[in-house]
Amino acid sequence: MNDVLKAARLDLRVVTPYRKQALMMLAIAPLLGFVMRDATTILPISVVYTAMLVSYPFSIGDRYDLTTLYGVLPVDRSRIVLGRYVFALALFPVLAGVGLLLTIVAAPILDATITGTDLAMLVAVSLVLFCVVVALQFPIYFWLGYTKARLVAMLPFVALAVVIVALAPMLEGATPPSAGVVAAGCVLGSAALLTASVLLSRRLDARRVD
Amino acid sequence: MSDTAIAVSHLDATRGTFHLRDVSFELPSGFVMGFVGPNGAGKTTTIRCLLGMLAADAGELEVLGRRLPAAADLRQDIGVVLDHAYLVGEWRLSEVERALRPFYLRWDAAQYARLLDGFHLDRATRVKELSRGQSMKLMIAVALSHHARLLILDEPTSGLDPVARDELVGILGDFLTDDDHSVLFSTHITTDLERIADYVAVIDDGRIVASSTKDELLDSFRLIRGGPEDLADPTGLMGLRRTESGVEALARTVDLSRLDGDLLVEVPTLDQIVVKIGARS
Repeated sequence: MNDVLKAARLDLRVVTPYRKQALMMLAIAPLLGFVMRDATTILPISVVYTAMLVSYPFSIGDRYDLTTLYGVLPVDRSRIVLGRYVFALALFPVLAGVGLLLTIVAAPILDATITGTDLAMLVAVSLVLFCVVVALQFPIYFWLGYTKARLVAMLPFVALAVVIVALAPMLEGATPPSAGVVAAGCVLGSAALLTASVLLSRRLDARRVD
Repeated sequence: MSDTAIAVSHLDATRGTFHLRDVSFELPSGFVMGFVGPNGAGKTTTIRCLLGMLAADAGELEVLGRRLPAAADLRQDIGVVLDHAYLVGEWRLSEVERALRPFYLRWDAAQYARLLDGFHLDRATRVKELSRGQSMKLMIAVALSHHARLLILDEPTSGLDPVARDELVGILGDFLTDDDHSVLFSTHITTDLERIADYVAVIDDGRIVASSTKDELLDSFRLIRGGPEDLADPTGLMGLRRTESGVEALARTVDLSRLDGDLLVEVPTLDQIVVKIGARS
């Protein structure tokens, strides 16, 4: 098996003991959907939750000194870093799929009409949301470690919120692009962001090990 | 098979505010080297360099005939045992195997099972439920289950009771029945080394004070005792302790001829050498 996949599978084994807590947290998504009486919130909440879940290997790693384990295993550190992203991206379709299923089930109960296009847009936006969170937080975790990075990791989101607020007036009145352009933009933008993030994480992780 | 398991030459390294300076020692294949020194002397920093976890500022390191930095596959041949288990606490011992096995080309499931049985470790136990002694045994089981040729142990006996420490010595004895197997054993509890170490490197304040066979090392130092007025010139003496009733210090054997006074000269134990060297700093 490829070293990157081995590293991703190790991450899965690291979080597996916490699966019960993870499933309990996932139940919050439909609960909030029903409380807000809005089925379209279920998927984004599931994705935000997934983004939290994929940081577990960092926090568990800090707790049990897994940095030493990664240093002792016969696998290059850069493969461990890449494996962490693969683990995150592999978890996304699974948990987003659950979120999507819950949305479809909840929609008729909440008297909401959600078309196929709506669902596709929801998935696209959720993918971007997930990739932005991962791309911004992972380099910080690799740089500082989870414990030190917890507060710092929130800064990119503050910056992102400032940018969105600043750009919002400029976008008002603009013609919205077609669904196809939005979907393609989401996929390409996410891929570019994640690639840059992987490269940065590898550099920062190497520096931290030194 | 390489002639040397570990060769460190003029190693300089920095970890925080601590510096290793000009560290050199050599462990021939098939032997045990005790790496001794007081806490904070530089043992762990040196080991981190050997494991590729810390970059050297200068110098050369060679492990199992391969110069560092080497490709990660070198670690197929290295087993590492620290004073704690660097594994997920919630893993059961059976899960430890499932998690680590994919990384090792020569993982031996039967050997892992045999070692756990031999150490009376239940596969259903979680890592966090193990005592310190049991954690050390688990890490040894992991290290020996991928058929490592070199064991690097960093303070594995600190906090262990004498029975567990004695068991470790027995385990290492079994490991060394293969001539290709070598052990670097870092500790500040030198009694662990009396039985098994062939070579000893003494480190203090980031520098190697002595490195040779255990017998040569014991031969190169002498514990000297005298009256309160003796050893007026402390140059070159280590751990000089002067009381109202007398004076005691460690000296290099080659320096004995220049010492004057009515001195009692004894062959020191390894423990006395480390204590006196540590006291110097």
